[in-house]
Amino acid sequence: MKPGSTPMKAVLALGLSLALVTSAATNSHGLNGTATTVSITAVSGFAGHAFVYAQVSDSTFTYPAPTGTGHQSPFFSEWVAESIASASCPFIWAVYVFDRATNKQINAPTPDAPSPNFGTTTIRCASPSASPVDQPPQVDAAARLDLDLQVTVSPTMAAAGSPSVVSAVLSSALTEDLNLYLSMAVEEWSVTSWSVDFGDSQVTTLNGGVGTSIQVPHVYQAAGGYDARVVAFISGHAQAAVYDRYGTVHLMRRPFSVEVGNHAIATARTRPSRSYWPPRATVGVVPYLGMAIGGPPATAFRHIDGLRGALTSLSVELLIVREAQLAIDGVSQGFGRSRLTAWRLDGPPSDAPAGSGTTPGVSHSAGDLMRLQWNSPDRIVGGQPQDYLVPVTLFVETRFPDGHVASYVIASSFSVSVNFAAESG
Amino acid sequence: MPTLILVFALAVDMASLQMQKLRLRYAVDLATVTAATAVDERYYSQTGRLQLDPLIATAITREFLMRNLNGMPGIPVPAQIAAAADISVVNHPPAADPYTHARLDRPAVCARIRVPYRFALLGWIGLKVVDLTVAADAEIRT
Repeated sequence: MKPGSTPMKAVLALGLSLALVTSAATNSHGLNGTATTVSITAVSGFAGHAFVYAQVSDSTFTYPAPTGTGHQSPFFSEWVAESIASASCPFIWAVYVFDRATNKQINAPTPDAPSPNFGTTTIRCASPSASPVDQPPQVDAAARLDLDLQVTVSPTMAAAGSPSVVSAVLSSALTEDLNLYLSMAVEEWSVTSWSVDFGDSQVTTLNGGVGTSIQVPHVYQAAGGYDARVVAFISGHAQAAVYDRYGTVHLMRRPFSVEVGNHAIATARTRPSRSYWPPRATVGVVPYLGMAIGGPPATAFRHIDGLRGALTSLSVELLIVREAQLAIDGVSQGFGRSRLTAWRLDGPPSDAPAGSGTTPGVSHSAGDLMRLQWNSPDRIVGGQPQDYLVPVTLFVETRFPDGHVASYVIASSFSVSVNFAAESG
Repeated sequence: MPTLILVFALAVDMASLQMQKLRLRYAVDLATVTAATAVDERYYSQTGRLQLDPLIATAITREFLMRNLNGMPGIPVPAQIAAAADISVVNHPPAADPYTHARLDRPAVCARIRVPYRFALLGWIGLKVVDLTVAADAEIRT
């Protein structure tokens, strides 16, 4: 370590700290012997408010029309007191301004000017507060731009997965000093970009020409509370006007940038649970001994008589016990509509002659007829006839009120009574 | 000797009577069995239950009665007997055969015919003709 490096570092650190503490831009300029200082303080805020303060100081102010003969302005004036019958202003100053080069009056009124006509367009009530001559000079002029940012999330509470909108509106209030000696103004400011942190690790940046309000749609995918933060990045210029003793204005323009942020709480509640309750259905059959008669009948049966030794055609139908239901958060929102798309005969093959009966294990479309035959009567078990049980697998498609379509496989069966052969008495 | 001849005539005529009755029984029986296939198909599709078509079953019974009686000895006009036959279709079991009172567990067709039987030898002693009544039923089948 070199000797003397520590004091050097301390000085550098102090300078850096001062630069960081104030973001002001402080400049001094000499204007014909005057010392003018323009300072800008831009205070960013992330709780909804920020401001920019600009100040111009001229400690060696001068009157616009200096005394003496060392300097001559291009114009000169004559002030004449005129009495008028007014309670608020007993007399006025009539000011006649002439061009020094031509000695001609430059503020003469037009011929059709209303009375009273004092021969000049510049008249001023002779009161201490209104007379520019009597106005005390000012050493400071300031301008202040207040920025307020309001952030909202709409709706405040939305279901997870549903769209929300993060809105931000920037409002401003501007106060400026504009007077004879010094003026300070803030102008040409705008939002250069917006940053939106939705609070769920997603961030969006909007650049350029975005105005003073934004509306950003967003979808919170998971339930929970989110702190949506919006920051507006603003830049502009502060301009000071300093008049020299000749009335010539000198403009001093300084850039500034400031950030204003705010936040809003968004709550995403749990995504509503959508339940699709399957239908409860069984198989029903309509028997035909010959060809199917006409269109589909209104009733299908879970139990039929079987004619022993006869090839029986069966139209397979879907018997709805309870239709499928759509439930949201456990509350029924309506019934679905189920239809049979296919069926499959399970179990052993029937007694139908080879090639004429329905083969088990093969899926058939809904309109196909099942062809079965029973050559033996019901078995007698415990003295009671035991019906044939025909297992069938149903393939069902259900369309729910919200458009959701689900497919279900339902195992079912129907029974057949086949009695003994004819008896003669 | 006359007694012996009488006994012989009785034996012959009774045997012939029994044979005729057996033929008639077969005729009625087969006619009802044939008619028991007349399933009411529309009713079956509409209800899933089997029953007989009364009109068709009755017509089939009469037709096959007539066919079965045709050519049978001692039946001069089979169509007349078939037309006069009592035929009932019972579609709501359990029920009783209206002619034999037999219990019916399934839809059935029931028939009864009356056929005169003329004795060959007993006519000598004045016993010329008796009416034979034969009934049968058949439950539904293919």
